[in-house]
Amino acid sequence: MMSLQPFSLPPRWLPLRLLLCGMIAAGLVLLFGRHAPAIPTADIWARCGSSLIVLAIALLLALCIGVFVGLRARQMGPRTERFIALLGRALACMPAVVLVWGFISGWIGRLGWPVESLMPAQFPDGQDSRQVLLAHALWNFLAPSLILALPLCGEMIHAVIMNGRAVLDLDFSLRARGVPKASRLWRHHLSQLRPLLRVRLQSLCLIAPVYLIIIEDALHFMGWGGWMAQNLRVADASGIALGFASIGAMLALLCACLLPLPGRLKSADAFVATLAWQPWLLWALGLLALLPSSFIAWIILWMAVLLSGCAGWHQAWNRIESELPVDAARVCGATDSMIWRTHIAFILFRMLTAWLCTVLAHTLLGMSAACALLPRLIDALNAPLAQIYRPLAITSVQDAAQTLADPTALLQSGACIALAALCLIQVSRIVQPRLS
Amino acid sequence: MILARTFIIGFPLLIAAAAAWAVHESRLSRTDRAGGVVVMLSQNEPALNPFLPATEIEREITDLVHEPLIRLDPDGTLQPGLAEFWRWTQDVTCWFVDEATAKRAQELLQAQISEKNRWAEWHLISARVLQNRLLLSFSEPNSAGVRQAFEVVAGLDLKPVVFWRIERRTPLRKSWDLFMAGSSQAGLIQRVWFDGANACEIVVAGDSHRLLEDLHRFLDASEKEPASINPLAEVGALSEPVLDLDIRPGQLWHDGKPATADDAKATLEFLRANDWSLPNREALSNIQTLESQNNGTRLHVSFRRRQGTALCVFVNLPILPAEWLRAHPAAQESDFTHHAPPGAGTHRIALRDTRSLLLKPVQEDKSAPGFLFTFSASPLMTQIGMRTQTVDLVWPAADRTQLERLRFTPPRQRLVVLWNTRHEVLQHERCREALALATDTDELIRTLPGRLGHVDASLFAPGLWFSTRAKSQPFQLEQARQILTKAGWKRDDQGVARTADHPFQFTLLVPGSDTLHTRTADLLVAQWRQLGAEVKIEHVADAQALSQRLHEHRFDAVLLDQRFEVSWDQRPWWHSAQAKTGGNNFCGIADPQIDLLLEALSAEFDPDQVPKRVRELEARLLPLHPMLTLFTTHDEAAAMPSLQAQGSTGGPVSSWTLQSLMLPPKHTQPAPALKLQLRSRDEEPAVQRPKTPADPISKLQMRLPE
Repeated sequence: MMSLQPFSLPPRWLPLRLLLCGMIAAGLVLLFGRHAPAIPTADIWARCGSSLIVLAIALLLALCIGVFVGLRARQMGPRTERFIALLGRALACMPAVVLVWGFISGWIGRLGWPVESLMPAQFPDGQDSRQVLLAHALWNFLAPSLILALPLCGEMIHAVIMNGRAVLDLDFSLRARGVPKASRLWRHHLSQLRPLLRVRLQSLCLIAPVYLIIIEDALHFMGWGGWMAQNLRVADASGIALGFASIGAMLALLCACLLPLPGRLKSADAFVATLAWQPWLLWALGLLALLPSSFIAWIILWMAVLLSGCAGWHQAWNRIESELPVDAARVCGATDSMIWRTHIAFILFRMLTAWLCTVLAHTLLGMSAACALLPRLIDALNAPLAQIYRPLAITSVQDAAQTLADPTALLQSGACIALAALCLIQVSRIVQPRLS
Repeated sequence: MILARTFIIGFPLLIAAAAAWAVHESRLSRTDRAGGVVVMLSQNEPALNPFLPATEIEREITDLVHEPLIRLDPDGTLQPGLAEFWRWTQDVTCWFVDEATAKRAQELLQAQISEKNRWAEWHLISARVLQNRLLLSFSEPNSAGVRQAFEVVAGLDLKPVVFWRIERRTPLRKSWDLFMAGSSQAGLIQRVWFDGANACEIVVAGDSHRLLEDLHRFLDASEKEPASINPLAEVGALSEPVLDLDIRPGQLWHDGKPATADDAKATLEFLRANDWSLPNREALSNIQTLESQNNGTRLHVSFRRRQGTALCVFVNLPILPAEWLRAHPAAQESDFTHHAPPGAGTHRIALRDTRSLLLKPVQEDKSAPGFLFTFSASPLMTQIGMRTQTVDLVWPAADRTQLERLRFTPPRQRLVVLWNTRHEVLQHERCREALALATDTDELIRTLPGRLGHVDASLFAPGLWFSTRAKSQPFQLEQARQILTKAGWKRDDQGVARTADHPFQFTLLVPGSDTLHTRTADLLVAQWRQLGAEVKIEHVADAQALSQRLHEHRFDAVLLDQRFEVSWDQRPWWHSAQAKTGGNNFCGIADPQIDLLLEALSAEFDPDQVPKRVRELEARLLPLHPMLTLFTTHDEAAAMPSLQAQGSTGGPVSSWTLQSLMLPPKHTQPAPALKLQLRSRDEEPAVQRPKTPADPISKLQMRLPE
């Protein structure tokens, strides 16, 4: 979902800011809920550790596959590259709940193959050998990691291709110097991409916890996400606060681990960047869980989308504004109103349209996450929207069993939402002005 | 570059390879299970009270863990459990004025051996003297020799034996204990039997006058109303049927301690002290004494009443260790849950928590499978288990599409309509017959929810060897109409049959708000309407109110659940003595011939003779159409294909149990029956009768809805 927002530079000391803001968010939740803070237990730490492993594997997989596919696409020509970028974007637009239940339905329902965290009890004798124990433990972690890697891969593929276009194209000059094809791609182009990829990975870290909650909850995985999903459902303010604080620490750790990657970009010092580079969707879900009424739910979600994209749009507008021929027009004698009408208004209108489309697409996807975790919010939707989102709310074991047996309704809903989001993003991309 | 490129390509490949290997191993570990049978249950963790199983699966788990004295096998035949052999005898006690007279009586009887060996003729085994008592032991409980032997000693100075019943408004036990401790007359009392807290019956040998005075003195002290003491009967000798059960040697509890008659005695005493609603509760309460004999290898049980079905008390009644019962004298559900008693069954509890129960075979060298029960299994878990084939059995069956894999447990009850034969319309036998013919049970079974089975018209549970499998009337509406017309019930323009005096109208009483009852009643009314019967439905939600109405015969017809119990005594339901207000003969059948047949059946001690008596009874009773049997209800489990390879799931589908997974495949011909009733130890062993199939014992007992 982050690829839907324009690229923005992270603030300086991002890990520290994430940690502190996580603490502040937790404090606000406790203040809002008037609850005493929950004391973290060994179980919570163990769960956080498990989720951290899952996140790390998924991010690394996304990075590797994204880079590999992106670079291969670059070799195949601009059309294929664009098509693959679109596919990546489409994958990123697929709601997490659809991905995870699609996996469960196909893997267990169709193939009859096991998912460790969902399996019923087994005779103790059958688990004697270390090999079997290792296999069970490995598959227990790999299943959520692989599912989480899917949308992140989509994001990364899109990012690698789009960023590849954004950087200076050295291909011609390198070819002229006789640099081999593989070297041009894997050494020179990749080194250009590295700092951008680090920023992309950091931005993925902010959205991955929401995916993680949905995936771990559906898989009954004993991680931070499953525990957080329970807290959200029962609106436990202490638990949610602890979840915010712990995920803040986990994100800080992950982002800190990404810092040693070579290549530097100028950090954004502005307040706007600090504001945008936070897990707003997760915080919005926490707030929605605590609110008794769903009346202003969608406003909160919309606000979260706005805040998470504000830095990107701000930077994009600043860049466009700097390129507008305002001074030239003024030298030519144009009045301010003429300059506004001729050079600014139209660009601004296109910018606003693109922004609206993006925000709408992002809100649609945020709603899918919210409906999957807090099904009562569906009641606040109008009838046609509720009809689309209802299959995503797998509230009871009966719903789950029904989805396992026949996921058609869920897949249809997911496809509708993804298609709508994708169309809006494409419209946004088309109308967004690119002056240079 | 090489490093980065290797990592970018290698890491996803490494993860893919690891995932593929893990999935492969995980699948193998689950599909190549040799551990046993995994059962998924939607119900919560059961208490596993062996005496009060709440569900069919609980009953079957109990059956695996605990061993009864006598077991009813899947064919409905009696098989040895903890008791290897059992035999009925009869003890007769005569009291004389002194010991010399008693010895004289003994000599008179011994003299009968020398003349013509009349002891063998009388089935008399022994005659012993204990103080002024002469104890005669007969090998046959129904022996006519009792009377002949008694006639030999009757001329001597015998003390009368009188039965008294004592009743008081307040509990008796404390005053009674004081009396027994303080009265000089207490020695006259030979037998005491408490009938609840406020009443008891005593047997007194000799003159009772002073005893009664003393009794009043002790019982009436500090009581406003005096206790009522009334004589019940007076006889010359006390005759008591006795059942001896020989415990199988080498039988162990799961904790390794030997199972003895003391354990069986403790279990029966524990149950008599409880007021749990057990099958054959009445026969259990008729136990007079329980003794462990021969160093705990024999349980000696004497009964107050001559009732052949008393044997059924021990059938499928789990026996618990005396040690556990001593540690939990007032055991409740929590005791059974948290401190499960060891059993002597084929499986022991290896692991138990709120979510699962692991049963392992006691003899692991045998091919008996273990069982892993998972409780509170959600539909999702069930589906996952079924689809990944990691579950062998789902109970109750969740996936209705897997119909060919369903297994049905034996029926535990059936639904019947009882007619009140005093009702102005239903008193006519032809009307009852017409109603039976106009009832389409096939349609009921097709339409109603749940797993329902066809049922015959027999009074007893289906599938038992002495059940006559009497055919129920097939649906023949036209014939039913003709019968009514011939009997003078012609249909009017509204389609209601009527005579000159009465329209064909009655009310069907439906207990509770159970959906099955309600829908069955609706369908029956619709079916009978086609015959010309105008039937109203009256719901009685309160079980107590329904019971009162039935006992007072204030109903026309009633829909009742009949629970099958192991006994062949049908007297309470059809004997004319029970047809009065307060009796259990709700139908009001009063036929002297039937009474005689019922009495003979009830007093039958030999299971071999039961089928003949049952046939005689049903030949007389069923043509009167006292009730209409509708269908049996079954529990169902979905078995996975993997289970079919283990054990036999063949045979009649309605008799499938977990025990059947332990048995080898059935032969088409039944095995020759064991003659389980041994004669005395002195007689020749290994006397077998090869002819009849194995002898099952069972009984159908009607219960009011609880």
